[in-house]
This record gives sequence, C-alpha cells and structure tokens, in this order.
Amino acid sequence: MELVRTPAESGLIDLCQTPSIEGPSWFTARQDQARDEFISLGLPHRRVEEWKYTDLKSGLKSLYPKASSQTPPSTTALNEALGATLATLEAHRLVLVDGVFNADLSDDAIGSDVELLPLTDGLKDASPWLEGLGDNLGQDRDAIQALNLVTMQGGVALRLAEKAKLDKPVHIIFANTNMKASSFASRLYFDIGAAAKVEIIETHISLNQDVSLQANIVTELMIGDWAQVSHVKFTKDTSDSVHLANVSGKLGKETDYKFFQFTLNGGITRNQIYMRYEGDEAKADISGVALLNGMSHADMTLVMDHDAVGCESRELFKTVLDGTAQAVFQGKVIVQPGAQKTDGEMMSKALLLSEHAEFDSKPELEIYADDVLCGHGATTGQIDDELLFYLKARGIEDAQARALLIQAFVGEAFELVENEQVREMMIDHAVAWYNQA
Amino acid sequence: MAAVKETVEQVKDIDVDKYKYGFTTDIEMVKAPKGLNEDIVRFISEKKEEPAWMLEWRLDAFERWKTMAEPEWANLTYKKPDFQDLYYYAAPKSTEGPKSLDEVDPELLETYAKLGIPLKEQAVLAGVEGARVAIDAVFDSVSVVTTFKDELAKAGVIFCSISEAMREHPELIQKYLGTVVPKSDNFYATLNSAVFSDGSFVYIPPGVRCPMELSTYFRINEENTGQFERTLIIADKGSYVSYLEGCTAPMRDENQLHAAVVELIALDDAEIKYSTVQNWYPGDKDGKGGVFNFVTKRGDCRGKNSKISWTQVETGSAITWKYPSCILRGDNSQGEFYSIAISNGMQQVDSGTKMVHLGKNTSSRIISKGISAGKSSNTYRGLVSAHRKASQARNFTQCDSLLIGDLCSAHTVPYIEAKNSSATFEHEATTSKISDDQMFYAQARGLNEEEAVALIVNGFAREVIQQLPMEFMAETQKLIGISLEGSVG
Repeated sequence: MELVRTPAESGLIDLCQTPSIEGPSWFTARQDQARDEFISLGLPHRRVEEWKYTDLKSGLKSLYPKASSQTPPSTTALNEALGATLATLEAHRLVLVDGVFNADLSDDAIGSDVELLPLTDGLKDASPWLEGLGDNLGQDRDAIQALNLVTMQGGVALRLAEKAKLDKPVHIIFANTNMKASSFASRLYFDIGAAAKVEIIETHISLNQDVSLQANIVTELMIGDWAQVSHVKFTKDTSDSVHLANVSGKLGKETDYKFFQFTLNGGITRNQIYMRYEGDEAKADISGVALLNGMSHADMTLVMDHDAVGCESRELFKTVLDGTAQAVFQGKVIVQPGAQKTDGEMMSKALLLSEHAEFDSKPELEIYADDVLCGHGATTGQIDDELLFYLKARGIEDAQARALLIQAFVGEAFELVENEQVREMMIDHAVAWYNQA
Repeated sequence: MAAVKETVEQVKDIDVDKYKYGFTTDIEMVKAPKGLNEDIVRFISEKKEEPAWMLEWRLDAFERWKTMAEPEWANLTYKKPDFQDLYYYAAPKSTEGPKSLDEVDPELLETYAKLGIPLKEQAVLAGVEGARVAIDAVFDSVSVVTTFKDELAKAGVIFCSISEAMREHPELIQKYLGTVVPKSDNFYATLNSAVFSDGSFVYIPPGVRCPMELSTYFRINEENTGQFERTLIIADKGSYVSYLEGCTAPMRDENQLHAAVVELIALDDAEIKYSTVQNWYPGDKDGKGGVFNFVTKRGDCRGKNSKISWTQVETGSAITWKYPSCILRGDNSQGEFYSIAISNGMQQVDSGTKMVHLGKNTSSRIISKGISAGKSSNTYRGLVSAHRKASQARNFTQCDSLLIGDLCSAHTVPYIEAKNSSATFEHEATTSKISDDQMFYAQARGLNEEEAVALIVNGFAREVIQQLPMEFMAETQKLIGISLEGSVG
C-alpha cells in the first residue's frame, strides 16, 4: 500500500539528496544504501510494529530548518546555559554546536591514549578504526537511523587505546545556538579498546531558552573485551521538540556497560537502544527515569540481543506521567541459540498522576536457548492512597506528601547513576518537577 | 504423595504410539464440491435450511473475505493453505434429518466411545461418580447428536447445534450472532462467517444455574476438509454455565484446517466458564501433517457484574493461532484467562489473550504457562488495555515459560496499554528450564527421567490445571505426560 508522503517526509527526502559529509567510498556506499532505505521506508508510523505507539508520520508535523552555527557561543554563555552543577563538573568537555564539533569550546587534551576526531575530519582521513560507522552492527537500519547516516552534519569519534583509563569523565555537550526552531543530525562514535575504562556524560542544552529542536542523534559503541563504560544522558526539551536518538553497542568479552537516560518533559522523545552481546560474560545495565507533563510523549525502545554465553542484562525504568503525557516502553530480550546461561531481568514501572495520561508497554522475550533465566515485569499504577494518608496523618501537606511519594518511586532508578554530581543535578531537576506536578 | 503416584501411573499408561486419537472412521459422507465460491456458500446455507437473512449475512462475509489478506504478524511459519483445495462441507450421510440418540449411526457412537466420549445419557466420565455432562458432538461439518436435551429444556436451557437454533430460535441468533466477533473481524473469522457449517448454541435463561456441564466434542475425520464451526453462548441475567470443549483429528499427512469462531455473551450478573482441551493431531516428528488451528474466541461481559473465564489446555495442532479474549464492557465485570500451551516436535503455538477494559471497576487475570520442547516454538501474545473511561481497571498477568531442550524457543509478547490513570496493571513473565536440582530430587526418589519431567511440568502448570472442571483435570495431567514424551534424553 502506497502511503501519502507528509510535507515533513518530503522535506527529509530532499535533504537526503545532498549529504553534508563526504567520506571514503565505503562510507558513501553506506550513505547511498541508507538514502534508498529512507526513501522506501518513509517516516515510521503506527503500522510499523516497532513504532506502533510513536507515529512520526503524524507527530512530525513540519520540518524545522537545518541548524546553522554562524556565531559559536562564548564559554561564559555556555556555562550559564549548563547551570551551576554541569558548568563546574570535573570533566573533559567536548562541545558540539548545532551538531558539529567545536574545537575552541572543547578541551584539547583528553589523554595520551585517547584519539579524538571530529567526524568530518575523520571521514576525510578515513581512519581505519572508523569502519564500523554506519554499519549498524550488521543489523537492518530503521528509517531514522538511515536518515541520520545521510543527513548527519557532524559529530565526534573517540578512540581509547587498550587499558586507557581517563582521569575524568568525558562530558559531551550538544549546544543549540539558534534563535528559532531548527533541526540537526549528529553522530557519536566510540571505539573502546580492551580493558579501557570511560565515563560518558551526555547533555543537551539550548543557549536561547525555549527554542525548539528536531534532533536525530546516533551513538555507536564498539566496546572491547574487559572494557568498562558508563554512559549517562540527560534531555530537557521544549514541548515542540522532537528528539530521536539511537544508541547501539557491541559488547566484547566480560565488558561492563551502563546506560542511564533521564528525560524531562519534551515534545516527542524516542530513545532506541540496541545492545549486542558478542563476547561471553558481558554485562549491561540499561536504566532511566522519565518525568513527563503537558503533551510530552516519550518512548524508550530497547533490544538486548544475547549472542554469547553467560551474559547478563538488567533494565530498570521509572516513568511518571502528568497532564496528557504519553510514555511508551518497549523492551525486548533476545537469547540467540547457544547463548546459554543468559541472565536477563527487565522492569518497567509507571506512575500515572492525571486522568488523561497514557502508558503503553510491551516487554518482550524471545528465547532460543534452554538454560536461561529471563524475566520481566511491568506495572502501571497511581499514588497509593494509604501511603498518602499515612504521610498526611503525620502532618505533611498533600502536595508535599505526593512529591515525596513520587520521589521515592523514582529514587530507586536515580541511585544507579554513579557520578554523584550528575545524580544530584538530576535529582534537583526532578524535585522541581514533582513540586509542580 | 498421592499426586506423585497418580502422575507416575498416568505416565506409565501412555501408549507407545503417541497420538492415540489418530484413527479414521470409515463412514459414508456427503460432501460439497471442493473449492470455495459463492455457490458453496449458498450450498451450505441451503443444506442448513437457513432463513434468507442468514444467507445474505454469509454472502456479505464472503465478499469481504475476498478482499482480505491472511495475517502475517504471528510468530508462525507455515505453508498457507490453498483455500480452493478444500472441502467446505462434509457430513456423515446418516445424519440427514433430525435425530434422537437412538437413531445415531452406531459407527459414529463407536468413534466417540473410542475417543473416550460416551454419547450416553448416564455417562460417568473419568471415574467421577454422578458427574453428568451434556454433549454436542460435531463430526466434520455437522453436529451429530446432542445429549440430555430434554432434561436441559426443563430448566429452560437451550443447548443444541447452531443449525437447529437457526431454525428453532432465529430471534436469538439474529440478536446475538456476530455481535462479539463481527463478521469481518479478521481473515479467518470472516471465512468462518461465510462457510461455518455447524457448532453449538447455548442459551441460559435469567437466573438459571445450568444443571450440568455442557460440552462440545469436535472431530475432524474427512481428508482435505476444513472444519468451520461456530459456537454462540448466551448467559442471560444472573445465570451460570460451565462449558467444555474437546477436539481430536486423525493422523493425516496433509494439513487439515480448523477455523472456528466462538462468541460468549454474559449479561448482568451472569457467569460463563469456558474450558478447552485442544488435542488436534500435531503432525509427526518431522512436522508432516497436523491441524492448522486458526481460532477466534471472544467473550463479551456485556452486563454489569458479569464474568467470563477462559481455561485452555493446548497440546495439539501443528499451528495454533488463538487468542481467547474478554471485552469487559459492563461495570464491575471480570475476565479470566488460564492457559497451558505445550509444544513439542515441530509444533508452533502463537496464543494468548486480550483483556479490553471498557467499564468501570473491571478486573482481569491472566495466567499463562508455556512449555516448549523438541524443536517447537511457543509464543504468548497478549493485550491488556484500559480505555479512557475504564476507571479502576485492574489486571494481573503472569506468563511463565519452561524450555525443555536447546532446540525449542519461547517468546513473550505482551502489549499493556493504560489510558486511564486509575488503572493498576501488573505484568510478570519468566523463562527458565527445569533445574538440575529438581530433576535430581525427583530421580533420587525413583522416578525415571520422563516421569520426573512430567511431574515437574504438572507442578509448573498446576495453577491452571486447578481451574479445569474435574472431568478435564485428570485427562489434562495425563495429556501433559503424553505431549512431552520423547522430549528428554
């Protein structure tokens, strides 16, 4: 059945005709393929199973103009937009202005065993370690991933040598400088050597308050054996924004990957995660908190693909919904034939505060090996009246009692954020949110 | 340790040939010509002496069916049936004209006796003293006999074949048929609407508690025949009925098609309990033959305080595509789904339920136990949804899968949609294998490997087995043992 193209879709197809980044032949070939894929797939809609609850064909009404950074911000302006905690965060800073790496605002030396490449330069030089870029771990790309590969304006690639240990976390800042609503596509690529260790903090900010954004960000992680990676991401968009993110990772032997996503309101947010366990006894913890009000729509879709023996996956998501917000959780644990001794546990809990909030969840198990222990849980509920009564009976005001109960509900997930400063910053934002709820 | 002894004995009883219902009955049949077209639809309607509106209904369904495509979303791989290479109507010649039990062809009675379904009115099933069950026996396309009709009639209960109901009680059929599963609901239901040949009809009048269990036994006998039966059960205000359904088919090398539609309607304060033991021929160990079971079952809790409970034991069929559902329309209505799905050999199961909460204070409970062995694939697919106005909707779901052997697979695909803030939904799923500890424990007490597996699986599925009417409980425990035969070692 031929579906009618929406204006946004046609605009995106036009954008695909002239890729912003040039590269070696393998890259151009992947771009050509991705362009064909996007043109044939179009924007995902509710008839596409993976996008059943997040219809971009109707959600993406119009396309914002491509972001252009004529005047990069000053460090002072950037710090102001980051807020006190993040501005003073002890970290190596990498700044992407409107999706393009900015060397002036970023730290020069991260470490002797770390190689940093702004993606445009990297692709021109065709560094061999970038060859996994855009390959999508050999999996089929979905329309949004394909679109990113063709339309990406920039990004950054980071390579950690074997056993590299960084003294500080890497703070990746996506800063938007536009005065008006705009769109960008960008990409992060990590090649993490064996037994290396890194902490990544990813934040998205706007220098001009309340400017809407349409962002398409792809993150690829090639994680070597015994490496340890912690990755925390924070987004706080306006209600007219669209944030589409894909994180895909390849896990080597005995690796340890932790990912935490904090979504505060926003327009349409979709975080899609794909982890492939290629080495035995790898571990991944994927967790997050979403606090949504107004008309926010946040979608967390993840696939944990176990293709090695003795691996572990843990997922914990807490979602609180107010107003007419809608949240989606789709989590799939795949255990491939032969991936024995897999241990998987997935939990998604939602708290509905208002009458018209909606939570849709689809936790899936797909299991082809017998010696496994996999389970998932999903709950949807509201504030427990008895608990509320208990608190109120002790003299706590209704609003405060509710805020406390919400805090207790999401607290379990926030505890998984290892960086204390970042955790405190997130909790501050969360507390402000509860008090408004 | 009575339970252990019982299980062991049952396992010991198992015949060497695994599927013991695989025989065929040689009986003279009346068949419609092969293939599907408007004339066949007219032929069936004419055979049934149906009113004109019913023919119109069928023809409309047939028109719509022609524009539909077979669903492909299920986790099933099979060669699609050739709908032109099937017989849509096959009936034993002797059943033409109305029959009482005495007039039924002895060949048929013998067939049912062989299946363990004695079509006698003082039947005692499974050694349970005094248990009486009224049976509607469906052989290929027609209902051959319905027992205890007179006694049921005294209580005001109507229990007969749907063709008879169409002649005797057209007003009830017209009022309720297709109101739960609309005629163009899905590909198979639409096909069924066009060509359904028989099935059971039950009407329980207001305030009546049906004096005995009602039951239908489906048997596919003929080659290349599709069985399309339609069951309609209406429990009027304040009534109660428990209904059992069983099915078997001969062993044949080709795949047989079974596409049924079951509609349940519970009015105010009524309760329907529907139990199925599905044991269609599953095909041989290489996946040759077996029944394709594409069934649409749906219950409508139309009245307030109504309740519909589905219990299913799925052990047969090459392909199972079945989602008994509850529409919780009435305030305070309740839906339940208890399921054991066992797959072995090359069987593929994609089954589950839908609980659609529409009314206020509705609750539902889903307990699903999937057991995969051999090279089979077993999928639970379910939907729990609370609509905007379904305040205080409550659901509890538990889906457990057990894997036996490393060539089978188990999948869980639940959709949980809460559109109302006062909805409380809990969903839990686990997948595991029989632990070595459990096996060691059982074997240390003298059970062999297969007995130990049967015992553990019976324990795993106990929550569901307990929901079955007593007559089915013993049979089910035995069936679990048979279905899993050859799955270890």
